[in-house]
Amino acid sequence: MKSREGEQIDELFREGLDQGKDPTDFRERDWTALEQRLDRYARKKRAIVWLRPLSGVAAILLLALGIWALWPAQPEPSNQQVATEQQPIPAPRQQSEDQSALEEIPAGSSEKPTVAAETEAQEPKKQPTEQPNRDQLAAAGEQTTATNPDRLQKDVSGFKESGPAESIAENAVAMPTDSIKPTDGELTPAQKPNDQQSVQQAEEPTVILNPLVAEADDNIVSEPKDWLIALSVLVAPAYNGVDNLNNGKTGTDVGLMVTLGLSKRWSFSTGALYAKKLYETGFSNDYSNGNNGYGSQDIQTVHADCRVLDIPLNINYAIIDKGQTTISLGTGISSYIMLKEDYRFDSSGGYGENPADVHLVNENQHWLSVLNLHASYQQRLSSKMSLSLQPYLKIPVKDIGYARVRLQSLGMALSASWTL
Amino acid sequence: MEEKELKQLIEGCKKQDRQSQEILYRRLYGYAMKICLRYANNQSEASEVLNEGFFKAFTNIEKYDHQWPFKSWLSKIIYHASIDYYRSNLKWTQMENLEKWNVPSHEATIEHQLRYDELLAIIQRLPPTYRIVFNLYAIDGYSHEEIGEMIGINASTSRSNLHKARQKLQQMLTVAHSIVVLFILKGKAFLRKTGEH
Repeated sequence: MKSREGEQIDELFREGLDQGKDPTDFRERDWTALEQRLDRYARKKRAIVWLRPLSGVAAILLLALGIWALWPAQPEPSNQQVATEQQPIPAPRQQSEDQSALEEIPAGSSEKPTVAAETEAQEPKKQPTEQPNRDQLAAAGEQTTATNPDRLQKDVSGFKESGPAESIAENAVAMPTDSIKPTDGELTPAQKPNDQQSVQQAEEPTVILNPLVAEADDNIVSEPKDWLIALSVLVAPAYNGVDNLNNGKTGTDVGLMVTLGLSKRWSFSTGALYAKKLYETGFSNDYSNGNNGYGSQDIQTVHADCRVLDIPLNINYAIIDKGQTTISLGTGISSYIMLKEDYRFDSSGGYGENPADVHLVNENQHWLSVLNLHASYQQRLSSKMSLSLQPYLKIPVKDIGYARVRLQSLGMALSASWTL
Repeated sequence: MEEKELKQLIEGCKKQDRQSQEILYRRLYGYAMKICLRYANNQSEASEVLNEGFFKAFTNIEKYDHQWPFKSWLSKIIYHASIDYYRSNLKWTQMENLEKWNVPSHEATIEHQLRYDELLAIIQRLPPTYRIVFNLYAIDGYSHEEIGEMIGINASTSRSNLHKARQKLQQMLTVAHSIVVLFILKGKAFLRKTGEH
C-alpha cells in the first residue's frame, strides 16, 4: 500500500473517531465493580498498616529473647559444691567412732552401707554401721578384714590428698540410682548377721566407691542428643511485597535445610531454598526518568517475577520442649542469589524513555542481606521423623534485585525432618 | 465540568472519598471509554480496561500535579491500562495466521460517509496486534520506536503491523463501501418505484 493511501486511512480514522461524541451510555455495573475493588484495596491497605508495628514488636521480642539467652549465665552450683557441704562428716567420723561403734552397735544393724556413704550428712547415725561388718570379717580370719578399715581410711585420705575431700561425697551424690538399687537388693540378706556372704556384700561400699567415679563422669560427659543433625524438606507459600508488603503477590518457597543441634535448646540451621517471588510495586517516583510533561510525576509500576536461591543462616532457640512438641523462635540472615529476574515497567509518561521489559539471568547476588525472623512448632512423629510449621518474615536490609526494592516476604513453611 | 469542580473532586479523591470518586468517574466515563473502545475488542473488554485505568488513577491520585490537565493524565493511564490488557491477553497465534493475508489494494472512496460508530466497529475488528499499533501510531501519534518499546516488539515489526493494519482496514472499508452502495442503489430503486406509483 502506498504511503499516501496509508496516511489517508490514518486521517480518516483519526478524524472520524475524534469527531464522535463521548459515549453517554454510562453503565452502572462498571462503577459497582470498581467500587468493590476499591473497597477491597482499602481493607487490604488497612490490614497492611498493622504489619509494621507487629513486625517491630516481633523483632523486639526476638531481640530481647536473644539477649536473654545469650547473656553470660551465672555458673550453676555443681555437684562438687553441693558435696562440699556434705563432705566434712564422713572421713573423720569413720576414724574416731571406729572402735566404740564395734561394741555398741550390733552387727545385725549394718544396713545399707552404700546408702550410708551416700547420705551420711543427713543420717549420721548410720555412719558406724560399716564398722561392724569389718569386724565380722576380721573375726572370720580374712585378710581383707584387717586391711579394709585401713584401706578405707587410706582411700579416703587419698581422695583428700589428690583433691578436695568432697570427691567422695561427690561420687556418692552423683551416683545414679541404678547403682544404688542393686546394692539395696544385695543388702537385704545382709540383715542376717551370721551370713558370711551377706557380710561380704554389705562391704561393697569400699569396692563401689571407685567405680562410681567412672560411672558418674561418663554420664556427665556423654550427651549424644545435643549434636543431632536433621535434614528437612520444606515447602512454603509466601506473600511477597514491597513497602510493608503492599501490592504483594503469593509465591512459593521449596528447599532443603540442615539443622545442627548445638545443645538441648540451641540449634543452627542452614540450607538452600528455591523461591518464586512475585510482586508489584505501586506507582513510585523511584524509577522516574525525568520530566515527561507532568513534572516529577513519572508514574510507574513494576511487575516482577523473580526466581531466587535463598541461603539462610539461622539460629534457633527452643522455648518449649515438652513431650513430642517443641516450640522455638529463631533469627538469622539470608543471602539471595537472583537466578532469574523478569520485570515489566509501566509508566504513564515518556514512553520511549523507560525500559519496558527487563529479563536478567544470574545478574544479582545479595550476600547476607535479608534478616530472617521465624517461629517454629515441631511435632515429633517418631524418634527420627518430625513435622513442623514455621511462620516466618524476611526483611531485607539492602535493596534487592534489578528493581532495587526492599522485597519482604511473609510465609508459612511446612517441613518434614529426618534426624540422622 | 468546571475547573473548580474538578479540583474539588480531585481533592476529595486524594482523601479517598468514595462520593468524589464516583462523581469523577461518572463525569469522565465517556471520555475514558472512548479511548478504551478504540483499543478493545468490544464493550466488555473496554469496561475492564477502563476500570483498571480508573483504579490506578484513584489509588495514585496524590501524585497528580494540578498544573497539568487532569484529562491528559488520566488518558495516559488509560493508554497504559489498554497496553497492559493487550499484553496480558495477547494470543500470538493470531499473528501467525494474519501473516498469510493477501489483501488487494483498493482506493478509499466513500470513507467519509461512514460515521463514528462504523469506524469504531471496523477498528475493533482488527486483530489486537494490529489494532494497538494502528491506534498508537495513527491516532495517538507515537513513533514506531516508542511503540516497539511500549509493547515489546522492535520498530520494524511495528511498521509491518501498521502496514498490515492499514491493508485490513482498507479491505473492511471496501466491504462496507459495497454494502453502503448496495443500500443506496436499493434505496434509489425503492424511491423510484415509490415515485412511479
